[in-house]
Amino acid sequence: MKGLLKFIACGSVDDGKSTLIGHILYDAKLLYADQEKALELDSRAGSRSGKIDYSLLLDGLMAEREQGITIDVAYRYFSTEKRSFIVADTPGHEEYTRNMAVGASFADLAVILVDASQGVLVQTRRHSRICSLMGIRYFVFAVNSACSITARRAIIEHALYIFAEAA
Amino acid sequence: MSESTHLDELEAEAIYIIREVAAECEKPVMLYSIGKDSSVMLHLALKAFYPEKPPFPFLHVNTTWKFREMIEFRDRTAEKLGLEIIEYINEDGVNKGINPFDHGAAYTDIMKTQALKQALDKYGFTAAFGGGRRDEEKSRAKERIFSFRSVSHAWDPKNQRPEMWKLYNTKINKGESIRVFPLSNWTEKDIWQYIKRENIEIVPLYFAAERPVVERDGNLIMVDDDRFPLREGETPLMKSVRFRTLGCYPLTGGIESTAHTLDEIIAETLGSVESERTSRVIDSEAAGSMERRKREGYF
Repeated sequence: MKGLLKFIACGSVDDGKSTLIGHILYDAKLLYADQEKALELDSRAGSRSGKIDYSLLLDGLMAEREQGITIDVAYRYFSTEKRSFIVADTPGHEEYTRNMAVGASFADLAVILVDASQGVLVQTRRHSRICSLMGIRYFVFAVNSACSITARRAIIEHALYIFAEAA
Repeated sequence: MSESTHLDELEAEAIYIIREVAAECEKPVMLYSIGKDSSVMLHLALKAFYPEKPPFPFLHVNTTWKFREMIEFRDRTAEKLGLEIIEYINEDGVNKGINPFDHGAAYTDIMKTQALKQALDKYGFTAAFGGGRRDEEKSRAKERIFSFRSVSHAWDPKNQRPEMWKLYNTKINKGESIRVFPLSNWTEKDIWQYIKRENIEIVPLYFAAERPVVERDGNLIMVDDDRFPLREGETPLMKSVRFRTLGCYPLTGGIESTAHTLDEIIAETLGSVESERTSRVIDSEAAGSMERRKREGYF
């Protein structure tokens, strides 16, 4: 039976939430041709590095593009053979935590991102706690920018510890 | 069966939202734009209160440049269902001769945004349902289901009210209003599948037929009446086209198609490589143009 899975991406600021979701949509060919073209144009005009900036697929407000951050939750929709998905991309900044909580209240699963070079930060812990508080039962932990295996392992161990604490 | 669980969930959510507004808001109205999303929203409103009629009126903001078939469909629907559909036209704009050919973005502002604001103020509506979906556009993807507007109808995307679970906070100050989007979580595909499942009647323009069109700036524009100023060398040609979205006829591009049934439309939509917004001339103006219009009070 085909169901609907609602999930969010959360974690600290600049850990790559919008980029991850954008990249998944792009790689899975879930974008329309005109959206892909707009992304390439926007990336050339506004991205920080000049390369394709996948976060621009999610950061749809003018202020977000100007500042290169996520301010409010963006909802995206896609489906596969097995399921329909609604993914909410949430802001990592402390001052927009209430918007992240809005996304968390709606989700059944949370993908929590951690940047390996930054480790588990205050916002990572806060988001984990909010997810748990909002009743999310399923978590995926995604370690980003993990350059070495040892760093990755240390992060994951630390994260699991934090989690056990939060849940 | 496999699809129905998903659609059932969306339907239940939308009906819950519609009832919540009817119960909590002082003077609600449902925007009716005659398109497929409006048709679905109307159907949900009927279901939400059946066998009673919805306890709010419907409002159509007419730019005077809608397809003729849309207006016929609107009047037929109102009569058949016994609904009160208020039509509002910005007469000031009409008197000044504002049109989509000469006035570009100002046309949309005056005949749609200003007209909507005038209508809401005139009747004192405190909450207005709209058929907007988050999958349509990037700034819509950021909007709450209950979207609050200031006294001047402005949307402040940087300061949206929290919206937890299904606890919708409908408190507003005098003069403020709410735009409510019961179809927020629906996709274009969901809309079509629901239309099929519920056998909802839609404007025939969505189905392919031979229609007189001219090609202009990459769009196939239907010449719906003699107000359409043909450019030199332009002759309307009969082509089998249908429309993926409906708005003002000079601003809505058709697609060449032979899809005559819902199944064919669904198959075409699923296989489409372009999003539906590409057929709207106004949406491709500039990045952030939708957000800018919403800040100014557009739906």
